[in-house]
Amino acid sequence: MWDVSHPHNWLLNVGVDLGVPGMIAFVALWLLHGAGLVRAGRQQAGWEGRVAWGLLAGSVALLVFGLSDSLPLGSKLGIIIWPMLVLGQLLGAGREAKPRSAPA
Amino acid sequence: MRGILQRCAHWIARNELLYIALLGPLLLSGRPRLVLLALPAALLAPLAARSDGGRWFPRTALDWPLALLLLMLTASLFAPHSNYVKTVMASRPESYWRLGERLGNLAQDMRYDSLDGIYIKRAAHGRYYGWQSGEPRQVAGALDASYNDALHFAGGARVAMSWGPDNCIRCPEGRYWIPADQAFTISVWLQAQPGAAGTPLYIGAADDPLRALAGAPSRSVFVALRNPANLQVCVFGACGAPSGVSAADGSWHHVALTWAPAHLRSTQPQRPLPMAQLFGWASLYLDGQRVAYQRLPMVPVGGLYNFFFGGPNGKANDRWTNWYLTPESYVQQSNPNRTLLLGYEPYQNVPTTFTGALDELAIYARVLTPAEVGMHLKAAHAPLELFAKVRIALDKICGVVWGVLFYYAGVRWGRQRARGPARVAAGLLAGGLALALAAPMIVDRSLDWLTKYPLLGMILMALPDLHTRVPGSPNGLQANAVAGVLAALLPVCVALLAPSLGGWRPQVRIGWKQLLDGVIVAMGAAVVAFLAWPGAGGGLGAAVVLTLVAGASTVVLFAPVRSVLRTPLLTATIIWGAILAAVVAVALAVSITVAYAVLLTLAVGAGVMLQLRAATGATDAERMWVAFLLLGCTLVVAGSIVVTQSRGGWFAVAVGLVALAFFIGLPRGWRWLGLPVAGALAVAGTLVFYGGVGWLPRLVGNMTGKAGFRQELWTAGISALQDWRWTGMGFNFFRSEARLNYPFAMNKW
Repeated sequence: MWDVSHPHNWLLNVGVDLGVPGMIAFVALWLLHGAGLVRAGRQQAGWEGRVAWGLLAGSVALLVFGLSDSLPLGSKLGIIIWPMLVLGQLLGAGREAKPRSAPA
Repeated sequence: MRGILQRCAHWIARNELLYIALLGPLLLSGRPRLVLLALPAALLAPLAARSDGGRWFPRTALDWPLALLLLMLTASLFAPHSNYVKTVMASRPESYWRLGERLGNLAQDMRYDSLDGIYIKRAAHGRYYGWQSGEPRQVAGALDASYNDALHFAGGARVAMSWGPDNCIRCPEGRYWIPADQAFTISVWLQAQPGAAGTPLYIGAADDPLRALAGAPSRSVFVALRNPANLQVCVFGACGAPSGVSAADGSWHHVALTWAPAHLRSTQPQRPLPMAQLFGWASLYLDGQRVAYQRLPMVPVGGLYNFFFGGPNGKANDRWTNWYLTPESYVQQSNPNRTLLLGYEPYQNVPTTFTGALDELAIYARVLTPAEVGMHLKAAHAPLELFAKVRIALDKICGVVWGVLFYYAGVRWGRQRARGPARVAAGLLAGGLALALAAPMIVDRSLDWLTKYPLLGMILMALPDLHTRVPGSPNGLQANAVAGVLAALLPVCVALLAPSLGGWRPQVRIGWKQLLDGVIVAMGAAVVAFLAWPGAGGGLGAAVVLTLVAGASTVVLFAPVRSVLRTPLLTATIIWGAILAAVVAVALAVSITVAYAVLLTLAVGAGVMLQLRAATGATDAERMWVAFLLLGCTLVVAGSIVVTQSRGGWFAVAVGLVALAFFIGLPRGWRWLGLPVAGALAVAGTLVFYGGVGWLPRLVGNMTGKAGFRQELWTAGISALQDWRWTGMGFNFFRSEARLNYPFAMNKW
């Protein structure tokens, strides 16, 4: 019998697991991640820019894969998204959110 | 003591990422005892960071989506789930129809290989029609904490449902009837308005030919539940006295009818019993209380005593109606008085059309005890407890919590180090490389994966089988998911590899010579593709070869060879080409396992040689080493994606690489075009995959079943999303709830 552990669509999978608010959070997560990578790719030269574009293309590939399959949140292979998000933050938005210097 | 605690906190704060990473295997194991240890320990990490003078969590752009995800994770634990269906299934019914389908005409039997029915209704002119998709027939179901609907029988036009015997594709003979010498139970939920009459449940049989010959009325009844306002049961043609109890008050009531024959004579099914004085005991339960216990004679029905509730035409002793739907949804009926009906009883002198609703009809081949009937009733009103839901979702909850902690630890760690992003990128690629190397040996090796593309299946078969050694995944990793992960990493490898082309830029020069070369290369490609076609199991190999040769011919046509030869990428390609040629030779001469070992040995050896050469200060050696490494990484990841045989993974890689080409190939102001192009490709590809395009199966093999499978799952997923829209159903519930609440044809696949 075929596996029906998830609805074979990543966004739908998140919605089924965590409801419509969970879907909104998931979409926002990828939009903000993508925006950060676009910013990093445009602003940074050298390998950092290339990694940003590569990571963005990889995120696109992951989401395209998610059209007809899923990497459920919290699953063993689903942990791939966390280092991707870390790298995206360090390359893009992370540069803007450096901790403020402590008051004297 | 306090000093020790402070030192511990300091160490955790300094090594937060390592600490979280080490706790990962424990948290992701999903084993309650390990999780009980690891989860509090993991939650100490932000506490330690705070006590060490930092923030609980570093501020990032993803804070609010992650907070919302965690909030919804908590909310999903309070999503309602009913215990009733599982309780009924645990009682092993012969058939169980939930009567809650919102789409289509089929009334799905929860027993996977048993009977499906067809929802039909009778129009005013007397013909029967199948329910049209979207036509309302449901009301809210009987069960608490379940979104499953119930079948509504409106007044006026007669509404009926028939178990169409011809729908039972797989049910073996013997599944759809219960021998006369065997007990049975029928349970159903009933809702009727005050004063409602009619026959909610009628399981009729063939005309009795013996009776008809004798001039007696030919109607025959196996089981009937009549008159909700004064419940009466009929079994094997004999009806007991009205029970005097009413279920017609507008509320849902659980009704169970048990039948125990007093004589157990026949051990041969379908063999008519002697016309003796046989009888049995019928019990009627209303909401768990037995309200009638009656001795009823057994009257042979259709010359038989066996209790038929479905069966194909043309079988011995069968006189069932032949129902089927024409293209216009008109229901053909060879003999309307031989059927199994809900909401109506034929051949009565009084009106029998039932107005109300029925839900959760189950037939058991034994007598349910009063305790079991009470347990079913209790389960209908006792939702799944919080603790049970946490147990079910534990592994995913821990996965998400660990992921969020890892994310914040990683961001904090990366920001505190000079080359943090480079190290994280290296770690990501190293992890991907390790997964790609191991994937062919640890993916699920079910028959589906071995026969999809024979050539690739052979490679999988030839490699060591380690899929049972993956912790927490006894069947190995799911190949599609592995392909998805690797598809995300391949563009990163390629993006880093791109500068290894050096200063080479394609120069378009088209002349007679180039065109002639192109024609020759294309013919060669066609020959190779033709030869590869059958061996690749339906065209994949041909497509890959064609693509490779076409790419090579493009290089030959348009590239100035001398400038290409100077690039580190070409050198790396030549080295890898030599290694792969050696590997293929070993694979053909010895075995794929040995070839795999040779591949690793040669790759590591070549890498070490290049690194040594770089250490001696050779010109451009470091770039060559990097190109060699990245090309190797790219080849391993790409090869692993191919071997997984995941068409979704291949498609995702193709779209990702097209997007990457836009991102790094176009001028700076136009790179954003990669996103809409990738989106358009994704939409177009999905439409082609699921749109039944004729040429596609020739390219990627037959995927009709998979497409239908996914479309059914999407439908079920959308229904589930509608039902649990604000909380979700929670992690790990889809597998059970989809089958229980939205049964579909894939149950039979």
